[in-house]
Order: sequence, then C-alpha cells, then structure tokens
Amino acid sequence: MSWLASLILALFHVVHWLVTSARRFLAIPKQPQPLVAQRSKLPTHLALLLVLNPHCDRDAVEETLVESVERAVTWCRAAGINRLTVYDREGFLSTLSLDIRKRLVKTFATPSNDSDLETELEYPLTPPSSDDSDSRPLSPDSEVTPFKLCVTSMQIPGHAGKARRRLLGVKSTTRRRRPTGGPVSEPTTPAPITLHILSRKAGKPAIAEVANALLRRRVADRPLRDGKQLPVTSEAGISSLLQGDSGFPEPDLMLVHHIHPNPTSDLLDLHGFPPWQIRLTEFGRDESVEIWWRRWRHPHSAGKPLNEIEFRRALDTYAAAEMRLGK
Amino acid sequence: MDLSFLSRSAQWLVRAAATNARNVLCAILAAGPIPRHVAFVMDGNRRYARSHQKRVQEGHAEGFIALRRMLEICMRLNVRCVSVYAFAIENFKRTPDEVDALMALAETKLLEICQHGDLLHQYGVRLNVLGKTSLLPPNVQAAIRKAEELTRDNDRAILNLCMPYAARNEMATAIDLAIDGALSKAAADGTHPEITEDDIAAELMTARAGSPPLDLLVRTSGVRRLSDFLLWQCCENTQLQFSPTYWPDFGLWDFVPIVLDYQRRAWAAPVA
Repeated sequence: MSWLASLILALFHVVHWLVTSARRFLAIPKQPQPLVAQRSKLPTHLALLLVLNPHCDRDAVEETLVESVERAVTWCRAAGINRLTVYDREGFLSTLSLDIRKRLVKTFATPSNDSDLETELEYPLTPPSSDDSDSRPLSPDSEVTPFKLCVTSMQIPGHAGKARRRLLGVKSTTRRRRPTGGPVSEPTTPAPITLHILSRKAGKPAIAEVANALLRRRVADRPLRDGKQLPVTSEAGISSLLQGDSGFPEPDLMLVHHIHPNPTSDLLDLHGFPPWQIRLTEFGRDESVEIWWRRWRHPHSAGKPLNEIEFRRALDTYAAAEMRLGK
Repeated sequence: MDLSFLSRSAQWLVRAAATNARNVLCAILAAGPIPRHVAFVMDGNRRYARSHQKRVQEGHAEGFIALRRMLEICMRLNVRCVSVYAFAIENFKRTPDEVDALMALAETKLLEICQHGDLLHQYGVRLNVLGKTSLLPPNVQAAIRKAEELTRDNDRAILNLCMPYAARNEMATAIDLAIDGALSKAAADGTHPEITEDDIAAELMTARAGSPPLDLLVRTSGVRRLSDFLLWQCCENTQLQFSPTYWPDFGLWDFVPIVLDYQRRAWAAPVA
C-alpha cells in the first residue's frame, strides 16, 4: 500500500506544481510603485538578507555581493530609508567590508574633493581595520567585560554623486516624509545612511557572548553580595547590549534576495539571521516569476544582484501592512 | 419520523465519508517527509468575527474549533510536536472584556480537551503550557496545572500552548538559566565554563518541554511578521509560511499546499 500512497503523493506534487506555475504565469505581475512614490508608511530600517549557494565560487560572487549592497544603499537613499542592514550567513559580506566601504566612498563622495575621501566615511563604532567583522568592546556598565557582537557598522554621508545616481535610475533627490525621528536634513540633501554588515555570528553566537558577559559580571559581583539574591537578567538589559552602539537595532522590513535562485527560493527561511532583532520585522514577499526555469543555467556563476523591482515591491508590502502591536 | 431518521442517517454518512477522506489524504501526505515540529500563529479570529457579523468572543471560540481541527490533522500526519501562539504577553493590552473572555475560554477548553476520551488522549498528546504563566489569573493557572497533570503520561506527541508568551521573554529566561547552570558548574568543579549557543538553546521553554527543532511555522490571516513568537527556534532551517486565510477558516485545504511545499524543500535540500 505504501507504494500506492507514494504514487498518489507524487501525483499531488505534479498537480500542485502545475497549479502554482500556472498561477505565476497567468497572474499579470503588478508593477510596484516607483522608488520615490508617496507610500503610506516607510521603514526606517531595512534588512537585506542575501542567500548564496554554499558551494558557489567565492571570487565569482564577490562583485555581485558588493553590487547588491551598493544598489541597496542607493535605493534606500532615494526612498528615504536611513538605516540598512545587510546579512549573509557565511560572512562573505563581512570579509568584503573594506571593498564595500571603498565602493561606497567612490559612489557617494562628491567628485570634487577626492583628496578628502577618507574623511567622508565616518566610523563611529567600528574601525574596519581587520579582515573579519569587528566590534568595539562595549561596556554599558563598567562591570561588563568586553565582548564581540560581530557587527560591522559604517556611516555613509549625505551627499551623492549625481552622475552615479542617474546611472542607477534614481531621478529625484527630494526627500519625503519620514515615519519616525532621525535627523531632519534639508529637503535636497539626503541624510546619512548607517550600514550594518552581519553574518550568522551576529545572531545566536552574539547572544551567547552577551550571556557570557553577564555571567562574568555575576561572578565578579558575587563576593560583594554574600549570599543575597542575584539580579535576574532583564529583557531590556539584553536588548540594550544587543541593540546598543556595537550591535544593531530592529529592522522594520526584511527583504530576502537569492543570489543563485533555485526551485525552492520562493520558500522563506531566515538562514540564521539574528533572532533577537526580528521581533516585529515585516517580511517582504518574493513574487519573482523567473526563478524556477533559471535553475539549469550556471549554478556556480556570479549570480544575480538585487534588482529594483524586488526592492520596490518590498516597500509596497511594508506600506500595506497593518501594525497592531498586540492590541 | 422516517424522513428525519433518513436525513440524520444521510448526514452521518456524509460526515463519516468526509472524515475518511481526510484520513486517507493525511495518510497519502504522510508517505513523504513530514515536519517534526509545526508552529501556528492563530491570527485572524477577530477579523473573521467582524467579517461574519459575529461577536469577537465567537471568533475566538471558532478559533478554538480550528485548533482542534488542525491538531487532529497534524496527528494524522504524524507530526511529533505542535506549538500554537494562543496569547501574547502583549495581548494583555487588549480590552478587559476581550482578555476576560479569552481567559474564560482557556479555562474551560483546556480541561475539556484533556479529558479522557478527548482529542489529547486519543492521540497520546502531552500538553505543555509555555510562557510567563504567573501573569495569568489564579483560576486559569489552576486549570493549566490540572490539564498538564491529566496528560503527563502521554508520550506519542506534544502540544505546546504558548500563553502568555513572548520569545524575548523566553530567550531572556533561557540566558538566565544558562548562567545559573554555568555558575553551579563553576562552583562544583572550580572551572570557568563558557556558555555556548547550544547551552541557551537547551534552556528554551520548547526544548525543556521536549520539543524537536521547529521545521515549519505558519501564520494565518496574511500578516507577514513573527510578532515575538519562537524567534530563536525559527530563524534557522525553519520554513516560514504566511497564509491569507483567517484562522477560524483555516483547514486541511489550506494546509495541504504548505505540506507539499515543505516536502518540495525537503527533497531539494542537499543531503547532509
């Protein structure tokens, strides 16, 4: 009987595949709103999760990764988003942080003062001196011993090279309303963008790092307390460590992009993205039509960088989302 | 008399046929890979009630019927563990009327499904209530203790009812427990133990209740967020699915494509 069940199951899969494929092809893809359209709400912090084929050729994808980050920064700026987090599980982006920085300097620095390029990028939190991601030891209380959260952060200043922006298809520089806070800049000058680069290490391992720091603090405190009840770790305390200056805050919207699309790219998996910060993050929808039939072509090639349609579609999803916050 | 007897017989036959069809369908699906642990965010009860011109309380009551339905389907599929988000710590912000109604519903229904002969015993399901239960009214806490006690010896499957739950609260508690564990280890053998991510994972409420890793998370009613549910458990190797159906309407026909997608992914994944 089990062979019969397997046979019928295979039939189900064929029908399911036919139905979903037909739906994808027959549905007229709705064109997302332009980048600078007036949306009802806009994320202040966008996360971009880049998914790579684990067996891909590292050198081949480098350019695609850097290009994706550069595009995302450009579009964030055009749309008025001033914080961007980029993630890949293996940490390729972290090792490329110097290249990313160089590229962003080249793109966004004013062409006239090339000599001052180095001052254009400020690193308030993490001097990207080492190859891997690095975080300044942090100490909200002096008692917490240093620990690494593996978040590389950099700030990209607020004026863009116009030629490059036109090249990327961004027409307007006019800033639109911002949902919350942030420094208010003049309408024609974009605000600086903060970029965080993360890998899996910034997630569960960073939480374990925080636990170890708290453990060391308790060990140090113990002689002073002589048998009194030790303080219980508070959620707010952990948040302030993970989301403080050396960490990164909660993204409002996450966009998942597959560098090497495969037949199951349409299924959402978070690939080890830091769990603490995704409490209320909205997940963008992946509706790309072309995924499944490209799989036979160059699985080990450089892959596809982020495209603007995906980006705009994610912004539309966010604008349409209803936030109730438990109520 | 004869007519009503006939119509009742016909109804019985139709129902029996539907149950059989469902069981056959589940048996066919179970021929492929099946997630060990499935989580549901049971969202949309209130919007369902509004769209059917019903009271909010009725929406929640129908949501409970949907939970029974889905639990039975999961058991038929041989899912080992089901976790459901019944009440968030944040939900205490809702109107007192709604919170009271939900608490009353929890108290009666908890005891109902744990009775002998009812669903949990029929499938050998052990009930765990996860979350900061100290925030619940005393009568609900008593009902929880009694319900957990009634199913304690069941060992074929697990139902984690998360109420009042928040993943950050769970992670903070797990960090605390891991620190306590490390401190007592240090006191016992004088070493300086390091806490690893596995130590924290082992102290999560779901892990302590014996749940396998989370393979599939389903949120209904079209909302594409996790809303502080099982964040640690679902951020890696978990398939996240968002269904547009409101929870009280959610049934086998919504779940079958999700299971088929899960199987497609399981088959496509490189063999480890």
